[in-house]
Amino acid sequence: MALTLSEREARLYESLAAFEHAPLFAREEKRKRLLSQADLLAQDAAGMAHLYENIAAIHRSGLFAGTPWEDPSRLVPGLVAGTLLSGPAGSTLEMLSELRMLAVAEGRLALPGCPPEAARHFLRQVLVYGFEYAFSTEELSENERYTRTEVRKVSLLFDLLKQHLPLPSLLPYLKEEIETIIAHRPVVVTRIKRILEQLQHLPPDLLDGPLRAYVEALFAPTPLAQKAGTAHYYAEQLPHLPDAALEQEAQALSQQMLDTGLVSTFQLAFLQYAARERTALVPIALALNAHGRADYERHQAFVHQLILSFLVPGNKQGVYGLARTLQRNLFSQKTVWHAFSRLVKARLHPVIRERLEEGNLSPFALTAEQALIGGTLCVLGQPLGVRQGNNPTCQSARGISMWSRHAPGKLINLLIDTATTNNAVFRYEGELIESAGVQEGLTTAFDFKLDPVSIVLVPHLDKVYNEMMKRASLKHPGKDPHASVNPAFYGHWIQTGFKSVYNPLLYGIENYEEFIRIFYAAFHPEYNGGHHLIYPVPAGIFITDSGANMLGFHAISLLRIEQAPDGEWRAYFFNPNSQGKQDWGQRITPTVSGHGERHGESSLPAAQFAARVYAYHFNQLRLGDKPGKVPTATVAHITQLAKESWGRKYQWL
Amino acid sequence: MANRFALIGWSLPVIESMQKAGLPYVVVSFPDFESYAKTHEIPFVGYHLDEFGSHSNSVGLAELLRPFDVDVAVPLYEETVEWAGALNSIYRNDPRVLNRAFLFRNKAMMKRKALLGGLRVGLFEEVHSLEQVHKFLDRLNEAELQLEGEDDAWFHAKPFAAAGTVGHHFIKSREDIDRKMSIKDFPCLVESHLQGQEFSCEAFIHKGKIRFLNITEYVKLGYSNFIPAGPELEAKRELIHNEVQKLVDIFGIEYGMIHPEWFVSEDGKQINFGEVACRIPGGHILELCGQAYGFDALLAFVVSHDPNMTEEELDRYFPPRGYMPPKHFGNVMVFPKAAQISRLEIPEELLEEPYYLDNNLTQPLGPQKINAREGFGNHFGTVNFAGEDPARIRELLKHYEDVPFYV
Repeated sequence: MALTLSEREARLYESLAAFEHAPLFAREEKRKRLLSQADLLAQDAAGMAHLYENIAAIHRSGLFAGTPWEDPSRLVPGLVAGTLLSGPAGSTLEMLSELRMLAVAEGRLALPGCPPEAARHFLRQVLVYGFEYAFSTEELSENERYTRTEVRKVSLLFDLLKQHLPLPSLLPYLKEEIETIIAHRPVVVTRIKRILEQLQHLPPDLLDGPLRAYVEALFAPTPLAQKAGTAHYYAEQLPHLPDAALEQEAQALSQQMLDTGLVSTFQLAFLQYAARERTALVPIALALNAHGRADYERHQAFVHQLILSFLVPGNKQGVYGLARTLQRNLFSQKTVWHAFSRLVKARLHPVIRERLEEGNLSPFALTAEQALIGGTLCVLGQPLGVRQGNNPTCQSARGISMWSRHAPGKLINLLIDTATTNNAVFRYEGELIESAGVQEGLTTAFDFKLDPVSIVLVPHLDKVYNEMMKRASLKHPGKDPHASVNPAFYGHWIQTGFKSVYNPLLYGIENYEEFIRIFYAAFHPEYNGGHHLIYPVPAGIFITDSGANMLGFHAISLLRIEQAPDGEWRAYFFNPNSQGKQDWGQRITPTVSGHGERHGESSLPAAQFAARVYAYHFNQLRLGDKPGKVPTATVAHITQLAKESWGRKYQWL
Repeated sequence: MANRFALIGWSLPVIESMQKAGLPYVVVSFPDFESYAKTHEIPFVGYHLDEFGSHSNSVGLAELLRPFDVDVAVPLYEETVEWAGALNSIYRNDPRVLNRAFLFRNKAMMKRKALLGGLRVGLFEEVHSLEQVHKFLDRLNEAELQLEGEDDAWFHAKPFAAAGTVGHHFIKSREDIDRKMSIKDFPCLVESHLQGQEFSCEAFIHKGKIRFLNITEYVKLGYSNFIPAGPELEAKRELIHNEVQKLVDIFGIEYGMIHPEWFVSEDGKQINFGEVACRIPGGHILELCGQAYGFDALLAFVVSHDPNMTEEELDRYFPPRGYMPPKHFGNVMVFPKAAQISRLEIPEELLEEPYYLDNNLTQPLGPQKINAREGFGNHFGTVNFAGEDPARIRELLKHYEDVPFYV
């Protein structure tokens, strides 16, 4: 009974004409109606094709004028997928904007400042950044956040884009993306897995050496695995292998894990076989060195229990987490040992159980307990792999990462409480704050595309943090609330000195020079007496876009300032948002590899980093006369970077 | 034909219609709009159109309009009705035009006039205190021959001068009086509840006669309506036409458009008068009316105010006499149902519905809290439908009133 294509086409032309002929002041209303007609067409492939055929006329009608899509050269490919999923009518305009880009790429429409090659580049980036949705809408269809009509619209758009820009044309982009993720080593690897899943269907000769190696690491890590095809058949072969061949398998599997951070089902199957039958191979399959091996031997029975009872295909990344945890000798820390032994016996609260089940992004069955234990191993093993996902919860992610590095016992202890009671209790200046009693956190619609530890903790941490901030602004009016909240929230690792560039009473930036001098004197080895940082420093930074315009505030941790291999002094930091590679304007582009970064770190030249910081904690007992020795030229350079970027938004006192 | 129309109040759709038709006009509205008007080359006179009273200086406004050679004033909003009336009194040299405008702005006076002229109205009184409301209920109950223990009669309390349901209280029991009403509501009009189906008309009047009568069927007051009305109401067109003409005669209305609301009596043979306005009705009624009958109803609204227009000239702006359109056009005004919303969701079944026309729903900028709706205003947009079968339209409107478009 639905409208025919020609009826919908006629309606589009009608509303397009109404929009085009409307006086400027009456256009907004007609724009909305036109978009609602475009939505009707976007419900099947023929309609989508019709929209694409008419996109030049739609563009010329002025549909994009006065909207954020007006100037194609200013569009950001990384924002496309999010906008496509934000609901009508924004998603409709976004869809039409991609169709316009496609028309430019195909030479059917000429736009000033946007040559066809730039449009093709843009669309390829769109497909890469939106890869999860571009190549499979299964995840979207299952998410009740999105209506079927919106999912259909998005998938039809991507289908059309893929027809014109097929997968092989995306390979260089995908390779770069894969290498970035591998260097950054997040705990959640869904994205890279989705990409590799698609690549394995391509003819192998299209893939270059490194790309083929990444695909193989996941789907055919050894010749035997390739021959077996599935982990099940692979496991059946293992008992028939001679010892030397088994050891070779173990080494090959673990080497791939070391190189990529990715665990295949074959490796899990091998490890489980080894734990049952060939315990001598376990440390090899986990790539343990002497330290790790010692920890394994000391806790062999427990480690075997973890491997056999808690690690399954649905959380196989836990193998990497376990290896890294053993390598950190964490089980030999009394607090961790007791806490972890208790965690494996914890009876989960029904709400937590439900959340963990909802958070299972793998196609395999996974119990809540398995998810939690595997996830805990990953967070303990990869403290810098924690991410905030699509939630505005950078503080919570930063806390989990910091505790995993410096207070793993505390982290697991908190996890036990929260997982069993669906509650968390914190102290703030002598008062108790219970998350269960707090109504509002920073986030209203929680995105559960997170690691299991974050799924359990972040909803609670977010509320506690928000409540602390509220109380702080009442208790200490006129002072930056972070000064009192950070030590209460993160713990005693936070230094007692605090500096902020902003004076909330006078609404302006003050003493910026002193701020930079203390920053250098406290953290930069050239000026602090040659010392490393003892604990990570939670710092607030201004986020700026590629035009250096102020976008907002963000929480990160400064981990170290050291000389990169090329001798440059760089700040290495933990950034909990998922994009390690960014463009902050003024040619400030954080990197995640190639400049001495460890997995999970981002880095910038020290001065560029300092130019984005607005608050930090420091140790005032150790400053002495060091701030005065920071060169004036350095301070002036940073001040200029600050004033010409976020500083434009503020009054300088 | 008028030298120039003064549009009293700010309405972009009306300005658009005037521009398209090439009719001479000038907009009179608050000076805040001046720079916008200038940017878009809209002829404009800034004026503080505050509540019209004894202190108001319509002569001053007329002077400001003199350079524009204005000779017809058109009220676009409830609050500008007296201003337009005052100007037209000057232009037509007839002081009673202003008095008639007052009729529309004082609901007690309006009711009295209707009663005097022989229209069927409810029992009504002007009240100044809660005590007087209780006494009114005593008398109403008494007249309804209430026995001990029976429910109280229902009645409404509304401000003398407010559009639609702003400040309206529906009182269903004695307890309701103290619970729903407070000192700030007084003075006001109380009137007994009229049973029966409610509907509105839009009667375009020229030289004291109805040039065109539209009947709007309300599916749910303030949420949804469609045009032309279903066969049940259209069957009463002659009765409605006669009653509206009676209203026009009683009020002495010569030009413009009136928007009376009526209730069909229980036996279906009579209609009772609710109230009447003479500005652009809410609910996008004129837009639906124009789509259904194939004319620019906003333009027709404006030109009906022009005493100098000839019959032939007027015909150009109206559908042919006696024309009944084949399709019904209806809309649902969408207001969020949840207290907290974060995004707009268009249901699949809507896009697959052949009667669905389009929508202009606004996407929320982010999660936001929703305050109570006031007087059926501030909705988030409309969803429009069109189709031949009025029963289906009614069904769709009813259904989509309950669909949560915002979640």
